Amino acid sequence: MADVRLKDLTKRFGDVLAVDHVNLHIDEGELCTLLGPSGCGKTTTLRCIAGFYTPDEGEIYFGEKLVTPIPSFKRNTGMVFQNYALWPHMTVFNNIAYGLKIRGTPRREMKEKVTEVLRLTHLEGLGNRWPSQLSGGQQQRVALARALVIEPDVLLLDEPLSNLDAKLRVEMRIEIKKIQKRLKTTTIYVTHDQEEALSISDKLAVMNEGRIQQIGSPRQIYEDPSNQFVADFIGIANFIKGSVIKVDEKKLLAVVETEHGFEVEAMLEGGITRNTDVLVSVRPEAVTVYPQGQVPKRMNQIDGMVRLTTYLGDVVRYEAVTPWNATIIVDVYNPRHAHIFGEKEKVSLAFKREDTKLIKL
Amino acid sequence: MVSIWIERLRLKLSKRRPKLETLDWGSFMVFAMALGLLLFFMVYPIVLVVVDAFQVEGVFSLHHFTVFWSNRFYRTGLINSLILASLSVVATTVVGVPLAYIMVRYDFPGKKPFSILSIIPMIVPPFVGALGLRWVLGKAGMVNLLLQDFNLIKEPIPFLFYRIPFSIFGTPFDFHLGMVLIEALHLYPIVYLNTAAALANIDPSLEEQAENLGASGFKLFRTVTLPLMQPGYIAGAVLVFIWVLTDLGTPLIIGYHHLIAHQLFSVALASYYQSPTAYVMCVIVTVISLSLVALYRRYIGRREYAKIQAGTAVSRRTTRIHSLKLIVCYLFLTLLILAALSPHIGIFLAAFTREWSRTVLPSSYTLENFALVFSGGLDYIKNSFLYCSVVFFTNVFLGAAIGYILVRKRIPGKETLDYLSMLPLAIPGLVIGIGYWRAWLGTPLDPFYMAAIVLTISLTMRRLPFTVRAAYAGMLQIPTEYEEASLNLGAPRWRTFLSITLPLLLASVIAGGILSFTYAMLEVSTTLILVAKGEQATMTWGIFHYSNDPRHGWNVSSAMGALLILFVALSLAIVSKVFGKQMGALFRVG
Repeated sequence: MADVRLKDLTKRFGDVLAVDHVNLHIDEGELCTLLGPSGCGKTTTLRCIAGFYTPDEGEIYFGEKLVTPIPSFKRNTGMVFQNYALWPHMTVFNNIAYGLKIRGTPRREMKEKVTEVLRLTHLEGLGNRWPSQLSGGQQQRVALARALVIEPDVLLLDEPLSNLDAKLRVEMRIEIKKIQKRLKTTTIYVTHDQEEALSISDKLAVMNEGRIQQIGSPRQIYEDPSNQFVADFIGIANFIKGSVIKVDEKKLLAVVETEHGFEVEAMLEGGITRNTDVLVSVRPEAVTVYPQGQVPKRMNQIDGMVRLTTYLGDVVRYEAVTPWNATIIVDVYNPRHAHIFGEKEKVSLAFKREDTKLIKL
Repeated sequence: MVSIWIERLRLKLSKRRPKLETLDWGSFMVFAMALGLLLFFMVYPIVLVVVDAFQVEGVFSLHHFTVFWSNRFYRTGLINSLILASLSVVATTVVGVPLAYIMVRYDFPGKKPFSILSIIPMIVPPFVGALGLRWVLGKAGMVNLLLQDFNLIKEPIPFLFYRIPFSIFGTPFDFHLGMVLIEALHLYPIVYLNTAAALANIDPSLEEQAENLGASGFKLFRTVTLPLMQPGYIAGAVLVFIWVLTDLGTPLIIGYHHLIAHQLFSVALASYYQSPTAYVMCVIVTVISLSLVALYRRYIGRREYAKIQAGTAVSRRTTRIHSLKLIVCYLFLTLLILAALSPHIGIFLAAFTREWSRTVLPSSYTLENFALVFSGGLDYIKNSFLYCSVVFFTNVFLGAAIGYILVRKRIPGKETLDYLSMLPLAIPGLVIGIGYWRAWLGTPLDPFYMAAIVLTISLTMRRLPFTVRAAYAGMLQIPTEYEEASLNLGAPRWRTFLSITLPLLLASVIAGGILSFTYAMLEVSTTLILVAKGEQATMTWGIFHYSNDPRHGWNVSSAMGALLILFVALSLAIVSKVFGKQMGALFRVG
């Protein structure tokens, strides 16, 4: 077990800067997710940690040990690959036992360890099967068992659930989290699925274009995104563009004027003064739809027109347009007793100041 | 080989590039060794031959070329060879393309046995077939005797020797239709299999799209199907052309001297393999075959899109045929297979008899020929198996190593290795043979004394593409992650290669190795040129040796031929078992 530190990690492929001075500290026993769109550098970062790529600059430490010059096969990491990479010419047992064999584990101990990890991953009795005889979910577990059985210093998971169907994906991520909490293995988890990332992580690092955009707990990332990319990538965000016309430091208040002269109150952020161009970011579930002119006091309000109403059972999702033609998404939960607005209906879109987040442009 | 080039091209085009590993010492050593072997045993001898063809007493000169061209006899040989090769392409096309269309697009009872029988000629090289055909279509062969018995003809028809001579500016040329018949009967499967593969690989949606836009019948065939199957057909045609151009065995058995291959052999033999004229002929033959292959590579590069995209659902467009169409198909197939099997029938009948003249079938049967083969000719059989086993093991090892490096490693000069390992396909065996005499005469590798070693080396080089191709294709099937997972779990590179890569690669490389073995067994031209002494000779050499015996030589060589056919059929059956595919898939040499 060890903590993992990345210091100014940089990797280029030809002219492409895949990973750009990434700094990250993952505490011992923590599960940290690298999240980002495809091509953001998250897998490259993981492969540098595994030792499949040699970084062009920067260092990687496991605990106090600098591992950058150490070849992959001496790093004692356990990796789960996106396509599982189970060797088709070995049984489940032999796949899992491989790492122990390499380490020269005595036969009896090896058998015990494999049996134990099979139990841990709910694969009892499947040891003699061939990988091709397993379902996708079972293959996934074998891949996990194979990585865990060597008791790795760091567990690396590269989009491990992306080949499973939606329901199994949810089951497996809960299981991975439970196993990880039990073994307390430092874990780095790569995914592009934000829901997966939010649900599983102790710590989240959002990446884009080779750079880390924000590091924080799932809650910090969702509620307090530090820039437009993070706000937009995690969940859905509505952005209202405007310019700050009034600042009140004591009340943490900023008043933003939008196009067509609407005034919106938002939570003040550091570094924002009068005349700063900003985006007011507000989540769909924080917005409410009212018939025009019926908005309660002390709430921000903007005129809108419903363009599309989608009824999803637990939610009604409205797509509304502002007078300056920006789209605002609104989610109304538990719509059973609510009025459902039809398309082309004129409405007021309302939200509280506390639910806003200002992003400097 | 074409399939590899296509695969490689697709890889270049696809967004998911393979993750190449950087160089390590182990692979560098293997890489250097493979490159060294190819350079020393393929390139160096040919370079010597080419240099000698272009110089007189150390000075650059075209003198030898003028000597060659001013000799009417040689001029005739070159042009005759080109005519023969072209006519053979025409003949194999006439048979092979309709056959491909029938087999891929039509469905009828008995399709499977027909498709197996129709590729049987591939397991006999043309010269063994020529031997058998003499018993069937010769002047006193079965067909002529039958026709005479029924009083249909008075004089026998010279099927195998029918020539249409003509002359231009006093230089005589031939259309040797007998040779065309023999070559076409043996080589049509090359055109058939390559065309059929291309046809079967056409994405059905391309044709459906054309139908959807209103094209049908012949118009659909001409505007969509034909252009899409063209690359496969041309691959087959190029192979047939090169094969016929450089075929030495058939003209020797038929006794037809006016071909460049035959002349090259005689000139070389007479001059103890040191004639500049022979070198000139080598250069000419090599240039022709290299440029055909190069042309084809450029052509196929542009046609790559015709292949089915991975992941597309494929429904084969086959039609069940009835009545008239069915009868025509059956007639065509039956005639074809009768003709295609006649050499084999001839060989096997002749192998079991000594009394066969002036009768349709032999009058008595005996095992005497085989007894002779197994007593006097046992060395040939032993040598064949010894040399070809060495070829097998060497090529499995080299093929696996080269395939692994080509797919996985980033090494400067990799393209050279890639190109060189495929080069033997385009270099005629005759040229290799002459090159080896030129390079090693008077050295410790002198072919006169060391024929066993030199021949084995040459066979190894010439059949290397089979295993390289198999390994290359096999490596593409192995995800890089398999190896990374092993590295990740603590296995060093060599251990990863031994316990993960090699076991997964082995099945396909061994299949390629058996093909190597088989085609080394069938090798004629290099063998005849390199082997001077009987005790170092192989089965193909023995077949020629026996056929020179005026008494029962033809029967004994037929017995040897029959054995060769059996061995080849057996090893190919093993490959198709290992591959788990139909035999046809193996012959897509194109």
